[in-house]
Amino acid sequence: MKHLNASFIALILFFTGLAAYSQYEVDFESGNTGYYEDLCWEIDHASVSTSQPIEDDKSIRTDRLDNHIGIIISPWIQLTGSGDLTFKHRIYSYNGSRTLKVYLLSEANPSGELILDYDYSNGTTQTESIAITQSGLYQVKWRFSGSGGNSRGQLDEISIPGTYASDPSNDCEPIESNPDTDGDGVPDTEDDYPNDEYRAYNNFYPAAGQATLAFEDLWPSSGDYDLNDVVIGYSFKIVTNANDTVVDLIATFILRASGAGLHNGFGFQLPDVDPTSVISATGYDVLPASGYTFASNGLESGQTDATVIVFDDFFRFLVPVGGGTGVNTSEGQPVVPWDTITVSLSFMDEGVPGSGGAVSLTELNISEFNPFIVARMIRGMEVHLPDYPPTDLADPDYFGTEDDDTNPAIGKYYKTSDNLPWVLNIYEEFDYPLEEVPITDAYLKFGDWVQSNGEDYPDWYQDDPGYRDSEKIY
Amino acid sequence: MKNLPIKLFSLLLFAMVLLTTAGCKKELSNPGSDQVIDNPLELEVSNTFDWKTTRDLTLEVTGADLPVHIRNTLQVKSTDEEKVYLKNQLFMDQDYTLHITIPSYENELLITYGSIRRIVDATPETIYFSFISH
Repeated sequence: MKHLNASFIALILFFTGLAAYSQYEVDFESGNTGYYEDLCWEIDHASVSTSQPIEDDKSIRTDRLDNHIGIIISPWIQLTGSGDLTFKHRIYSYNGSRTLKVYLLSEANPSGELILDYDYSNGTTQTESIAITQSGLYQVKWRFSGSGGNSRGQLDEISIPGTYASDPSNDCEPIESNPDTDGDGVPDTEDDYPNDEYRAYNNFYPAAGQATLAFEDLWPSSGDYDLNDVVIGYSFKIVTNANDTVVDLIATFILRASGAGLHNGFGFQLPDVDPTSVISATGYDVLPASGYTFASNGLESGQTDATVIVFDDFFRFLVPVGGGTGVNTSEGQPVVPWDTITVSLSFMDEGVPGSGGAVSLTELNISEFNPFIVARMIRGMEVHLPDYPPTDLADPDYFGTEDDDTNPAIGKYYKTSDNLPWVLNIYEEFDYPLEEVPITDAYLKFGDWVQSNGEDYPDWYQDDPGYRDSEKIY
Repeated sequence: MKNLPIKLFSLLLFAMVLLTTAGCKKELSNPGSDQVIDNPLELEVSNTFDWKTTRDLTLEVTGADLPVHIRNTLQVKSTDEEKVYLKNQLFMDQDYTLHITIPSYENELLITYGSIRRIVDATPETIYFSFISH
């Protein structure tokens, strides 16, 4: 016990000693004036200069002091109550009358407490050592002034007895101990879940609103390219903890339209995410009779990568009314309200990841999620985005039939021999074409975008003047 | 005087032909770069064409040589600040490599880190942000 007490006292003395002797040292060799300003130095009518430095390659040098006052103010320093402020200064090529005053500034006394008043009588370098007994938050201010002559002040080799305490990311205000109620390391002001130690941030994809998946469903045959056979809006909210690890993935799918006679299901895969990394998937809507099989965590069975079946039949949710083909694609037909399905995937339970291991936000890489329809409710008949691979349960016998020119050997998937796709993924809410109106007819810059290899009109889907024929859009 | 209507008619006809021809000439001298292709099957699509409407960027973040640990939130946004493409808690004295997906049409991005705000060119595949700009 005696030894423990002695060790404890030694430890306290060690840290007290560290605090007492910590010095903030600056020699102005690391950058230019802007660099030091970014580090919260205030430099007025002065600059970091290589002209006749006091030491090494650079010093601070004021403008001519006959018509300017040169001011240099340090960042906020947590003074320790002991130690010396040391620095070197001089008036190079001394002429005229020159004075240096040094102050300690505090929030309580912003005009400062004078700690040095020096009148120059020559141009030799002076070395100061001023005992500092103050403790708390202070800035050191050097004020060079004078009259007559054209000489300038110089300052270098500064050492302040304390620790750096400005926050360059908060307008150089003193570093604050922001409250962190849940103790996860993220201050309450930055924490989307200030009372939940296992969650910190909401991340959204797309960044705002909903993106859109627009499918042709006659694969492997080409369709009419109205890209409205299945139209689904989507957005993801990804909840991460303070270490950037995914805690929850909340996927919202908005069933908007289906200009089809076929019954289609829909799902998505998270490439390279081990299914056992997902603790649970809930919220999907699939009838038992549809033939899908699910693991105990709610993901589809038999898949190497985590796969969610969101729904089995679009028309169970948006029921066609009033005749015609499909839902919400023909003018004059009744408008059927959109329906929303929200699927929640849990990756961590009170800080513990699924058995497949934790998944970081970067590993999840949600922008590369792999959505697909299950056409005609035939499980093996998946239709994916161009060049996105099928899941393990897709039937490869369809590849290369009819108009499909899929060739896994070269990474070509779900494109025709002319490289046309069956699906588009549009980053924003997409106003899809009317029934049987080809997309090129409704979106007047779509062709230019494609034929320019994406160089022209990357915003072809927006509602800019001349971009669309509104008469041909639902 | 008798021939005046005929002359006037001829003059008008000549003027119309001239205008029409000039119009045609103008059309021919500016082959339509904005010509609308109304049949998707007529599109000539390169083997390498990327059908995505988004682009992936790498963001290289350079840490500052600071005598203190400061942690704040880095955000990558559209310049109108309507869309936040990335939000991440970073230490100011460390380097990071981050990945962002943005709409293909974004040419500039706003990067903020607390009170530090910078607009960066978003057209290269790799963009850079330094906590200390100089």
